[in-house]
Amino acid sequence: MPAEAQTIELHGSLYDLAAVRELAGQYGGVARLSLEEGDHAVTVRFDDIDTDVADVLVDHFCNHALVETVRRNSQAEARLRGELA
Amino acid sequence: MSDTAANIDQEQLVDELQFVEDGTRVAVLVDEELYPRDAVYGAAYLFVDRAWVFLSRNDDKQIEVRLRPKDASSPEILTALAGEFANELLNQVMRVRISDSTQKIREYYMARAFFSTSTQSSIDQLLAELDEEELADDDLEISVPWSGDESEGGTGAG
Repeated sequence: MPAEAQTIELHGSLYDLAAVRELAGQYGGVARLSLEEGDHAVTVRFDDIDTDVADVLVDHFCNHALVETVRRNSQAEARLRGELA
Repeated sequence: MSDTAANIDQEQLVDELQFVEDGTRVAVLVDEELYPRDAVYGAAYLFVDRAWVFLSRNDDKQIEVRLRPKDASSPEILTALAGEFANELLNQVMRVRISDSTQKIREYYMARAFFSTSTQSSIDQLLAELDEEELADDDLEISVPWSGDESEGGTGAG
């Protein structure tokens, strides 16, 4: 029996929402993710969560989203500097 | 009685970096006017290996950084974690400021390294010197595993 559904809201000024969208596709093996995009944030809903990972899944997703956001920001900054140089 | 540090009312000291903990996680409130977002990212990034990190925005100028240790948790551990985060945040602020203040000179040196002909000639000179050294005998006579010479290094196993 899958674990209870969980939701998390990621603010668009803090997380790269394109990265969040891409990441959502990678978690299909442990849960069914759906995204609801608002003006300033995206709400990620986790359904049918695998009970083995239920206690850390959302936290893991948030860490993953943060790392991906930092990575993309760094790449964007490097590209910008390359263009300005 | 003169005003000394010892006479300062401790209640008057204001924590610049506030945090609250509930026994399992700690939330650090970061003022974005004092700590640039890149510094917050940099500090948060360094904690993802040992804590679950979540960022949220309370208002336009305040970021809440929530940290939940992946291992054991207690009020003492959470307080220490918040302190470590605060220290790392300061490190990251310095890194961002130094990066900003030295950006021009770094770009200048990069441009000079790439486009200066005198640099190219000195690189050629260094490469020529290295080639000469490689052709000379090895004074150190240190046996290396990638060397094809079996006569000196074959006394180990077997």
